[in-house]
Amino acid sequence: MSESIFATKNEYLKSRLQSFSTTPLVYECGKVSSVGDGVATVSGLKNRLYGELLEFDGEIYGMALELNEDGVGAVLFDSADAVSVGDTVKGTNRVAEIPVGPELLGRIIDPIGRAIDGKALDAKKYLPAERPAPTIIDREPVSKPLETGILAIDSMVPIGRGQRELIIGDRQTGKTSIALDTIFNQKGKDVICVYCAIGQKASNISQVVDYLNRNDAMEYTVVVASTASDSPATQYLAPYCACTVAEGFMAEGKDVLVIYDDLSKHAVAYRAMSLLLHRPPGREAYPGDVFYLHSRLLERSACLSKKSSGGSITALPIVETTGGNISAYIPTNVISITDGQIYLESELFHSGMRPAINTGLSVSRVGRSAQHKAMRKVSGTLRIELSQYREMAIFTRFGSDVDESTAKLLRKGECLTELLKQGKGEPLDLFKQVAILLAYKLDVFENIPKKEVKEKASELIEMLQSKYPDYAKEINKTGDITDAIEKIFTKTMLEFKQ
Amino acid sequence: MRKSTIIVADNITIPTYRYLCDELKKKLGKDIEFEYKIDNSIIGGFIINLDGVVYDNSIKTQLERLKKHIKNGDET
Amino acid sequence: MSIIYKGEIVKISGPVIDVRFSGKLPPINTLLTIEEADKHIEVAMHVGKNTVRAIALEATEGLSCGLKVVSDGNGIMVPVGDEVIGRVVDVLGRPIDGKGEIKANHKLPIHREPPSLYEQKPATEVLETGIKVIDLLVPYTKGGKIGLFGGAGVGKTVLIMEMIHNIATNHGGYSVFTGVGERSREGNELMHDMSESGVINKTILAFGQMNEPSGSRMRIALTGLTMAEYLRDERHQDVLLFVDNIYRYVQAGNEVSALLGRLPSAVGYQPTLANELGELEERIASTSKGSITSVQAVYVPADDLTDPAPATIFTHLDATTVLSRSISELGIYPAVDPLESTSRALEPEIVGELHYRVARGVQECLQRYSELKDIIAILGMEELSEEDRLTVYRARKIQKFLSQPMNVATAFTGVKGQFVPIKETIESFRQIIDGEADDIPEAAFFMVGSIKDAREKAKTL
Repeated sequence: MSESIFATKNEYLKSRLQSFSTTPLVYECGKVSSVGDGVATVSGLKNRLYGELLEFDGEIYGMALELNEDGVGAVLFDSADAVSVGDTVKGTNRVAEIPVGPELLGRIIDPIGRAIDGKALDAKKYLPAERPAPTIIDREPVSKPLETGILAIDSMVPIGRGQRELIIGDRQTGKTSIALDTIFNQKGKDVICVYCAIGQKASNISQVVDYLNRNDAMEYTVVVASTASDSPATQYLAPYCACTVAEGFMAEGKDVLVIYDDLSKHAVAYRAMSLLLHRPPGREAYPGDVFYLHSRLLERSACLSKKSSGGSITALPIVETTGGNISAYIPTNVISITDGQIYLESELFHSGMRPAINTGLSVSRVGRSAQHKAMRKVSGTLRIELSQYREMAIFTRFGSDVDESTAKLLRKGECLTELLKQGKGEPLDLFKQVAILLAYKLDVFENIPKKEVKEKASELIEMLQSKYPDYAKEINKTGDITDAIEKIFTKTMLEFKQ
Repeated sequence: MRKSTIIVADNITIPTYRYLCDELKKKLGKDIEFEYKIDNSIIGGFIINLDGVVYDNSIKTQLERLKKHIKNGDET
Repeated sequence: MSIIYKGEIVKISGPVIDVRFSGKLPPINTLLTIEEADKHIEVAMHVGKNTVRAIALEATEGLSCGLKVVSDGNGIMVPVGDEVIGRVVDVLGRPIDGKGEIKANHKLPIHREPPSLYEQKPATEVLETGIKVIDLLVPYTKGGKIGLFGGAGVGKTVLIMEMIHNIATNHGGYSVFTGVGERSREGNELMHDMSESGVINKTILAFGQMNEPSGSRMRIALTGLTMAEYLRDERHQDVLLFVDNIYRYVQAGNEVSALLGRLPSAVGYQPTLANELGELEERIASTSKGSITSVQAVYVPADDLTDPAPATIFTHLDATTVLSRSISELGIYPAVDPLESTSRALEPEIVGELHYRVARGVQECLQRYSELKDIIAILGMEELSEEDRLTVYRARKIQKFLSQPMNVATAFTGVKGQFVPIKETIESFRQIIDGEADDIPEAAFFMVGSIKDAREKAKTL
């Protein structure tokens, strides 16, 4: 209720009553002629829009996906069992829509747009779930970094605002943790977050929300949730709705981060829906357009030019693999859509390497243009050093003698591997990351045994932070490290080494 | 001959019913055969169903619309 | 538009729309317009006496049965000629670069016949790319058809961009770049780069990216091709045609095939896979009027080279550059597999005796190394003969030397790109296999240009 223009509630009430028109409500309706497996055929409803929301008896909703002269084939969103033959079906003349706007921050909604966190939702604006992606000329190249706070990612697989970066790996390899840690790290960075749960267990979703609440992240996050017990149609719609919510903010010039957790379940739901609509199966029984299912979703994440709105949507879709097979159908589909992937491996996870990122197979196609200057200065050769370390380690496995330069390479590789380990919920700001990498570059940890490297690194950072708090602030603020500061840090670190 | 059902809230007199049917035929076409049903829940007014299109002029729906209109502060 | 056909929509199922006409039916491939929604669909088949089944070229959300459909009887017609140079168009030939209308004198239909057998001219002149691994082992020819094969994320697009940079910039004639089902971000970046470098003034860009529905992705390849054909036939040009990515053309056809009622064939592909590819590929040809040199990126689904789509595409190409994930994991870019990639031009008659000897020598060396890898893994280097050990050291140097800093990848590698002339490439590799580079340490060969650069780098190690 906007009271700003009116002096009293009475005046408001009067004006509302005056502007009310008593014309009859006209809508079209038909009857359910068959229903089963979450799909209903409706006869008598003509002239529906493709993708229109239909209201069944009992406030049950469905979506029209097959239109012909006699009626409509619709997928049902919830309580499909409660629909019977003969039930009335109303047309709404609206395609599937979702509320957008700042009222959604801190809230949990379902893909139909209803609040499921126990409080009423008062949404002012609605946008369709399916919307065209920004055109080629409305975009501009990705250039601003999206900081995850995770050293391994920000240094070697940097993500920029407007990029799509896939998080892929077997189950229980830390995919959702990386996504959530990235959300936490956006506190105070003027980035709005949207977390989309697709077909997740309700207990998992509530754990995620709880985690977000405890870390004060819900105030800038919207959760769009569809659980494992929701109908395939509901799960199908979820990510598109989440994207629309994000677009609502992007249109206002904001930077948004969207997490799709996860697209494997999304593909499975779409497969179920398509098969029930009698659309023929292709590879692995997925429908032929399962690529388009994800490509049109992820293409809506982009970096808009200043002329458009200057906003951006960064997407972190998650895909789960089985047996580490990233060459399977859905994984390769999504890899060929996104601008890079962060590959998590079970073996690394179980051997204590967390985050379990395989830096050899992980890639960011947007690369260094999305990195802070300071980071670029200290991370240049990391990937190559790590890949050469890995190759050498295999090649010299069977006891061949190693020369001095190879021995150094192996030792430094081990050291770097230790430094890249990071706990869950422990984000590192730019200053800390740059400091660690600078120390590594200077080989400060040369004589420290592997097990103590991380501890020593923390000690060094703390010392640096307390000695030069202003420099730390400056680096975080400007994103760059001046030559002067770098010299001072170098001197301090070499002293620390003794 | 198209068939249509008029839903009213309570029993209405025959002259009122005839008047209603004539006015509706003027608006929607001569070739309609009406029958009526009673449903208290609509409170007052009437609802007509013809050719899959529903003309809802019931008090119940008007009250719901009014409520939404006052709450939302926008036009419905 | 003079309207010949009038009908209305009677069925919508995703991107497939049935339209009923009173009177004659518009032929297959006719372009239909849904007036009220200003959307376009293309006739794919006739079902029954008075109904056609059409494929949507734009999203179908919000369309309904009963909408009126009209057509002037023509298929998709796109503007061709000088007015299109420097412009960016969509599948219907409409400008999408915000620079206003394209006032072309000529329009051509995108559905056309390929040149006849006697019009074809075989390709025998080598095309220099400046990329070592390609120029040496998989030489390209002017007027030839080149394929870049690779799974997701191994560097196809980067390689195509590098070739545009190397070849198109120095090329005197025109280029046509067709983005088929790839990323809009890449389309945007390409537009920016080409505008900045001025290459755009000699290029036509046509995009039907992966956000578009299948009809658009199916036909955009034909749109770009038609524009290239015009330049070949009417302007007698040597045209460069880049297609990124030809697999998406097949994929789009697949999406629609099942909905058109066709039974799926092997691996779920459309039964018309070979025909669809043939109709497109046969038009990409060089004739006596002019030539089209094409570089086509080919996505390999699930990294499976035996998948029917890439397998069929293989047969249409003169040179195939295969990118491998295992090579990219070693940090070697471009991640070209030197043993899987082939070129019809690698013959002494075409590339000359020296080039041929060096190329084969390199391949043999690498082949021997891959055979010895198992022995090394189990027994270690000490078990090899003196000769084999030498082969292994040289092979490892060759592997590293096949990597090259690329201009378009400078943002990732931090190293400036290098264009290496063929003569230097051949000489450099000759030195390695003839044993003249045995003194240079292995690491010096990584990410450099010619052998001179390797020697320079060795001094700093």
